[in-house]
Amino acid sequence: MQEKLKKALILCLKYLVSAAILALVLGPVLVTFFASIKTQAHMASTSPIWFPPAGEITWANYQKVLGAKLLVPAIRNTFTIMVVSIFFNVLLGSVTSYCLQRFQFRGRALVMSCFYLGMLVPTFVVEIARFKVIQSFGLYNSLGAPIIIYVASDLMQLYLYMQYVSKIPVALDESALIDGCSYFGIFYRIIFPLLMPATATVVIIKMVNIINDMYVPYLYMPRTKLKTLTTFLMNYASAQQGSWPTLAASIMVVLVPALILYTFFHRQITEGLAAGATKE
Amino acid sequence: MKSISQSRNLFILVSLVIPVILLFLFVVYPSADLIAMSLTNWDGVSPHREYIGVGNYVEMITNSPDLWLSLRNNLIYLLVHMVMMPLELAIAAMLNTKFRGSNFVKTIAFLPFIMNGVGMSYAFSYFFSPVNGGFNQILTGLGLSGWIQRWLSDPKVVNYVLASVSVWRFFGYHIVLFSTGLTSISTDVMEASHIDGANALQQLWYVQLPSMRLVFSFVLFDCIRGTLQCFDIPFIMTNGGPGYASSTFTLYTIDTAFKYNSFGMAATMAVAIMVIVVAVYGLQNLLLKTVVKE
Amino acid sequence: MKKLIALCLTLVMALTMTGAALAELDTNVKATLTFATFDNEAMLLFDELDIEGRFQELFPRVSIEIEEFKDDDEYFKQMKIRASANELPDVMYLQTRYFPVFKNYMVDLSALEATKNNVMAESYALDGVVLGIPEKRSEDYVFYWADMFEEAGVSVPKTWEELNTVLETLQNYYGAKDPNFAAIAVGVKDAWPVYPFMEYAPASFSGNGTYWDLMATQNEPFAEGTEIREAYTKVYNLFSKGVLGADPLGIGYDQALSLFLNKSACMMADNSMGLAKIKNSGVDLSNLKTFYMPYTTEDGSFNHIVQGDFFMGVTNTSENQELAKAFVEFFFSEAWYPDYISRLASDSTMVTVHKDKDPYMVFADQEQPELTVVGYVGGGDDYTAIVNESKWDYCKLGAEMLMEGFDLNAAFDKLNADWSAAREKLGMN
Repeated sequence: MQEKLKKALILCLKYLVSAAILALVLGPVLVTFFASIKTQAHMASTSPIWFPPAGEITWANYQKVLGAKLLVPAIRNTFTIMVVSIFFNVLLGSVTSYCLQRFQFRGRALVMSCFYLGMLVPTFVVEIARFKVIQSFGLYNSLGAPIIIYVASDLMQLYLYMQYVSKIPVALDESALIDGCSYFGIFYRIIFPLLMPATATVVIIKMVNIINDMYVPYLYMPRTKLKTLTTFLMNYASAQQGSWPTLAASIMVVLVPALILYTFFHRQITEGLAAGATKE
Repeated sequence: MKSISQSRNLFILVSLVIPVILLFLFVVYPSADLIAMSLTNWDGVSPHREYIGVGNYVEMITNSPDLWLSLRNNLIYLLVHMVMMPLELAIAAMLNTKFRGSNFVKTIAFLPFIMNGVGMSYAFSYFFSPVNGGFNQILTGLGLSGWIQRWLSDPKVVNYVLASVSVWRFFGYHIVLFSTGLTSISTDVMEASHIDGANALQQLWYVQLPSMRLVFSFVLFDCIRGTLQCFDIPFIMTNGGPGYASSTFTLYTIDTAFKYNSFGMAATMAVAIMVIVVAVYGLQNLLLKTVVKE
Repeated sequence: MKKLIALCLTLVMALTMTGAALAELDTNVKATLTFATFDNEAMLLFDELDIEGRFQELFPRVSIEIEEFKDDDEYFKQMKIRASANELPDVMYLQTRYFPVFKNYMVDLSALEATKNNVMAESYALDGVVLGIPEKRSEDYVFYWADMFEEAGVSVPKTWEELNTVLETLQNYYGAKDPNFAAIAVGVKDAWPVYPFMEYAPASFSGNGTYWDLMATQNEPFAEGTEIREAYTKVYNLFSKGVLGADPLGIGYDQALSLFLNKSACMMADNSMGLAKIKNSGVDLSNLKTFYMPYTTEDGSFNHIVQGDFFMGVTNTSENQELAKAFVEFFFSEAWYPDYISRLASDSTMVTVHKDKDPYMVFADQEQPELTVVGYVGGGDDYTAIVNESKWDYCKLGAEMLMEGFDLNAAFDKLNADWSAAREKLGMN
C-alpha cells in the first residue's frame, strides 16, 4: 500500500515537472503569438499573456508579412540555397570523415586541427577576410556566397559522420577490397549507405540551421531580389520600421518551416545529434 | 599490394582536395589574417595597415576595463549553465523512466533549440519588459508581484536574465544528450550493480556518471564555446546596456571593430577569446580526467 | 515609337536641365546601378513610384538594384566591411558623422547641378569636396497630446526651466493613476533614442553646431565651466526627476512609442520618421501636436537644430561613376524628387522644389515663431579619431545617467581623463 502511494506520488511529481517544462517552453511562444494578433495601440492596453478582447483580434500583421511580394522569391532562394549546400555538405562531409577516420596519411593531423580551428574562430571578426575570398570568386551578391559558406564553414557534419564511420567495422572494407572493389566503390556501395542515419540527421539539422540563419545572407546578399526567408522577415525587426506586433507575426511565420520539419523528423534530429555526442 | 596503396592514395587525394581547399580559404586564411590584423592599428576602411607589434595586446591587457567587465558577464552565463546541468541531468533521468507522455515532453523541451534564435531573443526582450511585459504579468497573476525586478535594466539582475534565456534555448538539447547518454549504458551493468546492492543514487554516482564522461565533456565544451562567444541574446535584448553592464566579450569586440573603427584591436580580442576557449577546454578535460580516475 | 521616346527624352532633359553630366553619356548604355539605403520610410516609395522605370525613361537599358538595410547601425557596419573589399554600391547614403570614415571612397559631386540647387550641400563640403547631397532637411520635434496637457493644466513650455516644470506636473498628475506613466517616453534600452538630449543638447545650448570639432581641440572638454558640462548637467537634472517613467532603461524605442500612442506618455521627442509611424498606428490623432524642444539660453535665445540628412553620394570604386552621377542628377530633378519628397514627412532640400510643412509640424512653428536655427554637423576627422580611441559614446552616457548610483562629476572626470589620454596617444597635444 505504501509502495503504491509512493509510486503515485512520484508519478505526480513527474507530471508536475513535465507541466513546468511545457509551460516554460511554450509560454514565451504563446505570449509572442498573442502579441502578433494585436494592433500596436492594443499592445499596452491589453494583457500580454492573453488574447485581445473578442472581436479585436487582428490578422493585419500576418497579412502585412505574408502579403509582401518578396515572400515568394524569398522562399525560392532559401530553398535553392538549402538544397545545393546540403547536397555538398553530405557529399564532402561523408567522404572527408571517412578518409580522416579510416586512413593514416601525411598531413592528417594538420587537417584535423584545422577543422577544430574552424570550430573555434569567432566568425564575426574574420568576416573581413572571408568577405575578400567571396568577392575574389565573384560570388558576392549571388546565391553562391551563402552556399559556399555553408559548405565550408559549419563543420558539425564532420563530427557526426566521424562518429558513425568509427562504428563501421574495418573488416567490411577489407573484404570488399579483396573482392576487387575500388576505394570509390567501397565508399559508394558500402560505406555511404551505412551512413544513412547520419545523413538524415545532417540533412535535417542543416535545413533548420539554414532556414534560421540571418547573418550570412544578410551580409553577402544585400540585393533585394536575393532576400531569404529570414532576411525578409527580419526586416520587420527594425526599430525604425517595424512594431512589436508585426515583428511578433514575422517571428511566428519564421518558426513554421522549422516546426514542420521538426514535427516530422524530430526522432532523427534528436537521436542523430545525441549519437554524435555520446558514442565513443 | 602496391596498386592498392596507390589507389588508396588516389582516393584520399580526390576526396580531400576540395574540402581542404575550402578549409584553407575559409578557415586557415581568415585566421592567419586575423592574427596579422591583431598586430596592426588598421581602422577597417583605409587601404593600408600600420604594423604596431604587440601594442594592441599590451593595451588590451592593461587598459581595457570594460572588456574584462564584459568577460565577467560571459562567465556568469557559463556559471548559470553549469549550475543548471545537474538539473538537466535529473530531468533527463526522470524522462528516461518512461511514463505516459515522457517522449512528448522530451520532444517539446527540445523545441527552443530549433527555433530561430534571433526571433526568440526579440520575443524575450518584450517578455521581460517592465511595461506590460508577459513575465511580470505572470508573476502578478501568481500573486508574486513582490518579486518583480527591473529585469533588463538593473545591472545586478540583467546578466542572469540573459543567461536564463540562453538556458531556455539549450536545456532541451542538453536533456536529449544526457538522456541518450544514460540509455547507452547497458542494462547488464546496471543490473549487476543492483545485485551488488547499490541503490539508485549510488548507481548514478558510481556507474552512470563515470560512463557519461564523453557526454559531459561534449556538453561542457559546447557551453564554454557557446557562452564565451555569446552574442545574439545580449545584442538583441539589451545591446549590452545599460552602459556596459550586460555586454559580452564578443559584443564588445564587435563594437570595437565597427563602432570605433579599431579593427586591429578587435582582432586582438578575437585571438584572445580563442586562446581562452582553448585554455578553458584543456583545463576542463584535465579536471574531468582526474575526477574519473578517482 | 523610338522617335517618340527620343522626343520625350530630349523634352525631359530640357525640362530637368540636368546639363553636362548627362549629355556626355550614351543614353543607350547597358548597365546595372546598385543603390543602398537604410531609409525605411522611403523604401516602399522606390517601388511604388517606380524609380527604375522613371530612370529608364532617360537610360532605357539601365536597371536599378536597390539594397535595403534595416537601420543605420547595420548599414554602416556592412558598408565598412564592403569598403575594404571594394564592394561598395554605386550610389549610397551617408550621414555627416560618417564623412571622416568614407571620405576616401566618395566622388566629388560639387560640379553637379543637383549640388548647386541644393540648399545645404555646399555647406557640408569637406575642403571643398561635396561627398553627398542631402536629400532631406531634418528637424526634431516633441510630439505631445494636447488634451492631456489641458487636463493636467499645463501649456507648451517655452524655456528649458518650463519644460522641467511641465514634465514634473504631468508626471505627478498622471503618474498617480498609472504606474507605467512617463511624462516623456524615451526608449533608453536601445540607447540611441536619447539622441535628442545627448547628441543635440551641447550644440543647442551653446548655439554652436560644430561643438564636436571644438571639443577635439580641447584637452579636457568636460572641465568645469564648459558648455557641454553645463548642458549635460541640465539633462541629468531633468532625467533625475523621474519624468521618463518608472524604468526607462528597461524599454526600447518601440515600447516607448506604444506608451505614447496609448497615452501612457504625454510626449515623445522624434523626427519625421517617428511621425510616419505615429500616423501608421491607426490611433486617433486629433489631439496630436508638436513643439520644439526648448533649448533656451540665459540670454533668451531659443536654439533649434536643423540639419541635412541622407546624403546621397557616388562611390569612387563604382564602375559606372558617370552613370551614377547621372542617377543623382535624376534623383534630385523634376522627374523624381518632387513626387518623392512630397510623400515623406521631411522637408525639401532643393531650391527648385517647394514643399509645405507637414500639418502636424506646423504647430511647432506656431508655438515658437522666434527661433535661432543652428546648423548641426557630426564631428570631423580629429573628433572621430578621439572618439574611436577613447570610446566616447554620448548615448551610452545618457543611459548611464539613469542607472542607480551614477555619479555625474566622476563621469566627467573619467571622460576628461580618457579624452586627454586619447589626444596624447594621437599626438594632438
